[in-house]
Amino acid sequence: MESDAAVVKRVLNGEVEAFSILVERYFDHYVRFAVHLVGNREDAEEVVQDTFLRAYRALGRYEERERFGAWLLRILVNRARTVSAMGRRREKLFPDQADAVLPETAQAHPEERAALREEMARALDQLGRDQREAFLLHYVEGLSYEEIAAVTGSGISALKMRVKRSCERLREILQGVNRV
Amino acid sequence: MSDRLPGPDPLAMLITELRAPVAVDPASKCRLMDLIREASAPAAPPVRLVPNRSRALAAIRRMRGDAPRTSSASTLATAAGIALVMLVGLQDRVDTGAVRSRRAVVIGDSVASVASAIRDTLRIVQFMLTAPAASRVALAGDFNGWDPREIEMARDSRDGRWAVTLALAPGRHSYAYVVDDTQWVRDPAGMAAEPNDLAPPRSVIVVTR
Repeated sequence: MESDAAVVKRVLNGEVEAFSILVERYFDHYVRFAVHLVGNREDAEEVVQDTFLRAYRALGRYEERERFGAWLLRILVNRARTVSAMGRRREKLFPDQADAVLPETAQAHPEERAALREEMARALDQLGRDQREAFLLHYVEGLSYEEIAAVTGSGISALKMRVKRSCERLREILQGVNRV
Repeated sequence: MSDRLPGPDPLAMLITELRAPVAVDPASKCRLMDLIREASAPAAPPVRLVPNRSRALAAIRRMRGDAPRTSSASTLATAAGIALVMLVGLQDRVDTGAVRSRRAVVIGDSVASVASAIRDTLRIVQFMLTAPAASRVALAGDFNGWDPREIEMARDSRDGRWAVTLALAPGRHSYAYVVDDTQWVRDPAGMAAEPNDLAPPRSVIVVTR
């Protein structure tokens, strides 16, 4: 597979259509991340679209030693912060059942699943922005603390603390739900 | 955790749920590519300015047509840097262990600028950061293409202060410190740069003629 850096070079050499390779590689994945980060599908797609546009315009500033995906993610996180700062409402953290490609085991009991999703959405919504961001980047996107530090500009010890506290908070909320 | 409920861990279930792929309308990617085609071409890669003192001096020598000089010029600049570090150390011995710094300061003309033809071409600037727990600190900025490894700062083992001296052209420069190769921090004592989605936190220094 052609590396991201090689694709970037082609785009910079005037092959605009080559950018679609990067869109195919990252768009769906980052929409999912943005949905959980900003809290609604519409804003998430707008953020991701804006992220790609900004990345395209600034492609000359991308340096090969950084993973393209991580560079893109940094732009995305900053765009998501801007949207969040505008005070838009978090509406739906999880996509509609029809929108999600669920594993087979997840489709066994759709009603229970929907209720569970709702509770999980509420739990995630109760985290502060920074905690949610760190939690998602670490546990959902699988980034190391060093990578998260590069994406967010936060210190590693602060990030570890945020992830730890977000886990504690989520467990507390979700266990409380299960006990009812 | 001691109070875990029997059955599936709710946190693990949440993470699994969050990792589930989301179906995206292919039309949204087509719309994005339409916008890309309409957008102006990507900006060209940045032109690197003089990245550090030795290269600055080499550039000046080339401008002057000199043969490579002996160490006197760089020795003088280094001595100036060390003297300033020592002075700063005497003024401020409080060490909290946190990352902090003194504002990057212009400490004089480049020693090579004694030639009138190139006077004011470069100014010597010292950057300092106190980070006693760090094992490595580097300086990155628009003057070196934001390379996080090129300009290593030297540590003063007595107080955990890191410093480097550069020759910079007059003008506005953005920079940041890179602690332990990963953590980008702006200069706590410097002027914060405008937030930029495309860059890590950074500071600005205006080098005057």
